[in-house]
Amino acid sequence: MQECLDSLCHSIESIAPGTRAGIVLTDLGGELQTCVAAPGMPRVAAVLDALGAPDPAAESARIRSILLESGADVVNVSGDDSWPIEWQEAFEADAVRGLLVIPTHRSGSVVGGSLLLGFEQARQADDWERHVAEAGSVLAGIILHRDRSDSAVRESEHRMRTMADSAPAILWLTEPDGSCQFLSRGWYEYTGQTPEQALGFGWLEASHPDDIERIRAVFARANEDRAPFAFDYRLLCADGNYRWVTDAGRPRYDAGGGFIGYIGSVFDIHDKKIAEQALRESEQRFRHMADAAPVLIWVCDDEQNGVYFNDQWLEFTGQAMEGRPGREWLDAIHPEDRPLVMDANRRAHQSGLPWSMELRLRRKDTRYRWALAHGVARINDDGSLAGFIGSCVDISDRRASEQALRESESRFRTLADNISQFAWMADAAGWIFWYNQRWYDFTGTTYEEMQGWGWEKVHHPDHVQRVVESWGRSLASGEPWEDNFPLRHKDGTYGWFLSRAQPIRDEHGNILRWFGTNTDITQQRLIEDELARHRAELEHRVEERTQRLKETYERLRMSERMAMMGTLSAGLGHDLGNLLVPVRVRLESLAAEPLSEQAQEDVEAIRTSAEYLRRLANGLRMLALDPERANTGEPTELASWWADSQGVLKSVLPSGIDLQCVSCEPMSVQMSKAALTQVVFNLVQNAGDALREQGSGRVSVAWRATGDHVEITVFDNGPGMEPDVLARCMEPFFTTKTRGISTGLGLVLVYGLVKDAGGTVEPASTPGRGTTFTILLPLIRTQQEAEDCAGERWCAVVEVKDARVRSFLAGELRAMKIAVESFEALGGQASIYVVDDPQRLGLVPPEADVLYLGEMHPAPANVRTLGSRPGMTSLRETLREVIRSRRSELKAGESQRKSADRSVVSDDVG
Amino acid sequence: MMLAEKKIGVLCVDDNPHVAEALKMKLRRAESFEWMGWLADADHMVETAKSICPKIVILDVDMPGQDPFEATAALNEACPDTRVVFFSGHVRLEFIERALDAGAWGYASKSDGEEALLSVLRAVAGGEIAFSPEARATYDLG
Repeated sequence: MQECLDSLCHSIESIAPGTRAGIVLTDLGGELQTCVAAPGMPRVAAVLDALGAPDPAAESARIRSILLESGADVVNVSGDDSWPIEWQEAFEADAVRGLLVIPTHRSGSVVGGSLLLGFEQARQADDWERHVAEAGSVLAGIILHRDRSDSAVRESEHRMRTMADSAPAILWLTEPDGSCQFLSRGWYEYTGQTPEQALGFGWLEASHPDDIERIRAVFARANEDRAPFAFDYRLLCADGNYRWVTDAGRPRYDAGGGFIGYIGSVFDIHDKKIAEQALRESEQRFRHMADAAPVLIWVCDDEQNGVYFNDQWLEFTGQAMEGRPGREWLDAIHPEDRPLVMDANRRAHQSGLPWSMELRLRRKDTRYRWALAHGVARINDDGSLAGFIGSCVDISDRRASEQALRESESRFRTLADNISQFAWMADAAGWIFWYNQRWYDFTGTTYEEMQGWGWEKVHHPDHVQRVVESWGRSLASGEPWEDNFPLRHKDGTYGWFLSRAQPIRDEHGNILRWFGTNTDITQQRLIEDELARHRAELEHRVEERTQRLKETYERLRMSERMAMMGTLSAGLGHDLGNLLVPVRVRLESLAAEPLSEQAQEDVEAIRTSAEYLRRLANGLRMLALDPERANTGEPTELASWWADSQGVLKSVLPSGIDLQCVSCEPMSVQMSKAALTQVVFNLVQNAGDALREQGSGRVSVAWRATGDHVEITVFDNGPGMEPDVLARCMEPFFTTKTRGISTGLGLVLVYGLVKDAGGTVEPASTPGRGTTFTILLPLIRTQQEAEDCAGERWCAVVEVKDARVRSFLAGELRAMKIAVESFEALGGQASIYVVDDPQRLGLVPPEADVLYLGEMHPAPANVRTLGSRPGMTSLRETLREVIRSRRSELKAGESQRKSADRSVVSDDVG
Repeated sequence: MMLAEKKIGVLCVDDNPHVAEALKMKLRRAESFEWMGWLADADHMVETAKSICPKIVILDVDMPGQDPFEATAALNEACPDTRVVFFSGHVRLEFIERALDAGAWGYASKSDGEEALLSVLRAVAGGEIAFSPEARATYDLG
């Protein structure tokens, strides 16, 4: 076209000499594209090229308007200052000063181009020049139009190929016979085929062998039917792998409606196909999983319309869910829970977080069951809400179990907290993880303090190590544990507890945990201690009692032995006493006779001996200990006792040992002569044995009053006793003497007799200096009483006909230093009256005591009736009682009188 | 004067013939007493006393045969004028009380000697209850 336009310019310049022709083309939008030809105006052509700039200056726009839109005559192009200077210079350089512009062609109202005819002179075109220019513009328009048509075809083809080659799909064209006439570049790149291989029917070679027949059939039928088609098949790629493609074709027709083949495209859908396949498989798997899952699964869309429900859901709810389910799936949820689910879904959408709740789900039998439901929002790739998916698990049984478990646990805790023991649980390793409330109440601790091995804090430090070890042994062996130990109460005191723990095992025998208890045995222990104490005490008492019984038995045995000896001695003494009667009488007879001096001396010697024998006989009689009467009411006056017993006592001492009486004050003790003799006899005998070896020595017996007691001591200046011997000398069978000589019971007998008399006996000894036994016996104050009585100067009247009774009473009263007078002598002034004549009673003053020997009913208060023939013993006892009573009254009266006297004195002073 | 010269008739009851013989000698020497006889036991004491009517019966405690205390009570019933004086080597409160309750007038210890016995006998014969020293002490302490 360039050449044509140049030739046209040359032709116009030759037809209209002196002119320079140029042709300017524009695009369809009127924008100046280029100057196609201006062979006579090279500078103008250059300037015109600049007009094609995308952002021309304002002046250029005006010039372009002149040149392209309206056509014009310009008389003085190079001299017109309204033109831009570069334009003026360009036209001047090309020696064009006058210019005619005529549009070549129009496209609608838009000018498609212009013909420029320039003149060297600044003038308008003449008519010829104007005709030539108009004709030239028509030709130029024709050339341009044609050029534009060819260019459009070429451009269309080019564009089509470019498009086909750059399209993501492979494009193809077939002939009516089905052979391929065109394949875009993608085919060759995709398959590695060359056009020679592919065009025609060669492209089929690139398809998968398994797909070729199907491809042929599709194409054949499509050609016959002239209908669009689309199907998928596999193509062998350049890299040797098959990939899925989709091939779609449509019939194409010419302008006359004639079938000219198919046009189609091939898209690689391998990834999509694989993805779809994976999706299908995924979905299949999901459905399999969902249907196989032991849960109810639901899927709904963003408006909570049901999308999918697994078999379990359908089976459980009995819902059919045919077609596109709406919201009827929500009908399976309890009306009260339904809004909760919908609200949970909304919140899940907003938060992006899954929800979970327990709700009631209606089973197909219309009964509601508790279900644990989960849900989560389904979000599309673009972030929009796709819907929700969720699951439900029937937990009614579990809830029932949990409820039962809770109730069981509640019962357990109630039980555990209310049993009297402490209870606890530990894991298999011994870590304690639970205590009942009683534990905390007792120890005042918290779980934080106690968990694990914290219990050591409340154990007694003396026991904790042992307990830890025993507990550890049970943990290691799995054997039940039992121990006793003290636990600290919150007040700091300790109590004893019996603790046991039992392992709880699983079905395989493995220890799951330990269950333990602590039982308060403090009281039990106290009782046991008390019992043990009592038992010990009882045993001690039994032992003591046994010992006493043994001692008693031995003492009795000894007593019996001594009694036998006493009986023997008594008999001997008695017989001796009897024999001495004739001896004395005959001595008396002899003494009455006129005897020689020698004979008188002999008689005196015999009398002396007889007197000694008399005392010896008395002493022997005193050894007659009758156990039943040893201490009953038979006091002993010590001086007379000593006088009688010293002979016997002396007889047991070895020769060379003296027996002395240090004190002989008259006083009486509450012990029979026989018992006292036995006691002192044994002590003197022991002393004699102690002194036997040293051949000489002294045994002293002394007594003195100490308060209400008489202290009798038996001392020897023998070797004394070592402390150990001294400590045991009173024990039964203990003896330092040779067996056979001593039974070891002598001092036991002494102890028993003194104790029975209400006294005590204590040994004291200093080795090398001797031994002293001190006996304390109750003192009898008969003499003192008599003096007391005498001091009061009582008088008694005894007027009884029975001379024997009268004599007896008089003797008794006199023994008590009470004067006895006749009624006539004393009248009513006596304190005591003993009468047998009732007439006399009227003469007795009422303040006096009367013993009436007769019967009287009733008797006055001061009269005691004794019967007409009272026994002496009862008479004596009554008399003594009256005297004692009167004495007490007198003493009380005296005290009262003295007290009254003091009061009077006090009053006087006051 | 007549009464003063009347001797005190004494019957002795003692199983020991030597004692009895000695008492016989002793009493005979003492002018105020009349030895009326001797019995070795108390079995026939009452009958004997009833027949010979002694003023005093000297009675031993420890003898075979009848219990001397029972015999004393029987004698008192049978012979109210006869007075019993116990004369024994056994001097115990119990014996003295039983003797007095049975009706005895005196109690003398053989250990106190024969003079003491005679004193008791005289006192009893004079209408008094009497004891030898040992018997008195034993009875008083009781």
